[in-house]
Amino acid sequence: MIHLVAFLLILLGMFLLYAVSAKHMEKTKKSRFHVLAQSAFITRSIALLCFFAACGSLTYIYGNSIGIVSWFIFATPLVFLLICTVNDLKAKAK
Amino acid sequence: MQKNIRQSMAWLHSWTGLLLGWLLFAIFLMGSMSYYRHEITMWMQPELAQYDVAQETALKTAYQYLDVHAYDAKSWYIGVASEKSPVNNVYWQKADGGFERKTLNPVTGQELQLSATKGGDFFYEFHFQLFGVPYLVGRIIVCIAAFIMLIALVSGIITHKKIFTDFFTLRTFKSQRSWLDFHNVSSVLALPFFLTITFTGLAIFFYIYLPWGMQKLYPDDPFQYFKEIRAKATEQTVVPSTRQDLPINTLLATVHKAWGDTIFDSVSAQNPNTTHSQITFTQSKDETITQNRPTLTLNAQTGEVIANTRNDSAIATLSFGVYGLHMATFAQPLLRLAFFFSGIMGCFMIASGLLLWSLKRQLQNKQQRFHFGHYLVDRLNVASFVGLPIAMLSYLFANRLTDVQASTANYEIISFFTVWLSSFLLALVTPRQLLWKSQLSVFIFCSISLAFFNLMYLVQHGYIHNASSYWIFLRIDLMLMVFAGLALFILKNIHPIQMHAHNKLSKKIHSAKNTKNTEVNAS
Repeated sequence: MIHLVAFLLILLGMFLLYAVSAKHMEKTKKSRFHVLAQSAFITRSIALLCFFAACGSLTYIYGNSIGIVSWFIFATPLVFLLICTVNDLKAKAK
Repeated sequence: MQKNIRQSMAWLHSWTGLLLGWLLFAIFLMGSMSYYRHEITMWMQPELAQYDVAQETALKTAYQYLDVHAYDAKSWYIGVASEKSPVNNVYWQKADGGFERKTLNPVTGQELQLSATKGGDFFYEFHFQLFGVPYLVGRIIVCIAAFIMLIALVSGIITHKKIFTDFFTLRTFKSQRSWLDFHNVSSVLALPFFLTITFTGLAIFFYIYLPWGMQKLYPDDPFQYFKEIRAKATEQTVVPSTRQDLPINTLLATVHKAWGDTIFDSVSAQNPNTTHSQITFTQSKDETITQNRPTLTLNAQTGEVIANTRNDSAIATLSFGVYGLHMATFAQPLLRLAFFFSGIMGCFMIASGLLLWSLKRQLQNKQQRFHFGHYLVDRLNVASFVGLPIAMLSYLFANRLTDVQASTANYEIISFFTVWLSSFLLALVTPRQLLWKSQLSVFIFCSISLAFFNLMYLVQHGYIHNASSYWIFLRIDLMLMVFAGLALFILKNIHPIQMHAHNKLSKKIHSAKNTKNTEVNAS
């Protein structure tokens, strides 16, 4: 359960960073997540808080050192999954 | 023209990556497999799965065996039977200094004559010392590769102009741009893992390329360093005399009093059956990066608890930390899977980098003239990225088809290298458009057929009694299926990717010809 919470927090934090990233900002403004683009600073801060909370959850399970290492290790497949989801990976028929 | 720092780093990144990229791919793939080496060994030795592990019995029978067969040994080591390895592995250093090793039945304590397969240890040993060369030479080559990897990582970071801007960018079916995006994504996402694993890998083998400190401090035996780093040095002025140790039941009672019910990893004894006899029990539970498993050392003559003998100095802790971070012994199943994923990402990073190198040169080559270098790189790419996994499958297939004994040749390893070499030779004569398709098809076929063949083999030999006894084998088969699915995805998409690159190349060549014709007409 704690694992799941940590994973969701990492995903949420990464999604927030994606929403206010330089390349995607304009799209976010026009989407239903436009509220995130109103203050990129606050969105980034919330993302950072999510990461800290995820790291806290993992350190609760594994202890301090393994918790921090596991944050990076778990983030890799999760962010990869996010990148595959938010980008259009299908071949475009010409 | 003078290059700026980024251009210089890009040059360094490209050529260092190309120089040892294929070897690094093999090292990364074998390293990733090593996270599951015990599971692979279990898969390859199905006879092990029949033992039910009762650690108390296993420990007592192993102790009794050593008491009879190695009474006057200098030291004992018992790898206590566990779920990972359900047999007792015992080692001892004989009175003359030589070593002996046996595998024991955990119930009866009798010696077992198991198949001489190297199992998952083949991948593990290949990962850090290769195969077929003296181990020191292999380790030096791996160290050089790791050093190159570190250079490639640092130069890659400097070269990458937009790490944060392009962090989430992955454009597909755009030829060179797609490969670059994928290379960047796979590199940046697991960058902390790559830096850690490369640096710790280099640090573990420091004694190979920086031996002078050890030689200066321990001129007679430089490897004394490793003994001292593991345990506090104790001065022994009196020569120990022979005296029977306490029975294992008495010692175990003290251990249970201190720990309660626990799972053991190992038990080791120093100077057994002497007046200086010490016995150390180590728990299986490892919850630290520094491999600081709970241990309990007893005086085997009196049963008294001796103060912790582990070396707790800063340098020893650092050394344990380096090993722990690299081998991830602390990683629980889910975390281990994530480590494995990061390792596979490393393989993708190297593969996409080398494919990008090849594609970039093709696009730059405006004449359709044969270029041996590009031809060779293409073939080596396929032989490494697809040929090596096929060779690994053949290693597993050979395990099911042959019975490897200590007295016979190891057909598993022979088939591994034969298939790998065949893959390269086949790649040399295969036309470019069929290069990936042919070998990927072989990989998919072998992966799927191995899972079914394995099921038939297990049923035929009566190794499956219930769902849990099949799970030991099924987990590896499922992983093979996942990789077969991934290969199928690549196979399905390789054609449109190749077509796009081919069209782009044709357009470029066509426009170059047109420009040339216009210039000739104008003059």
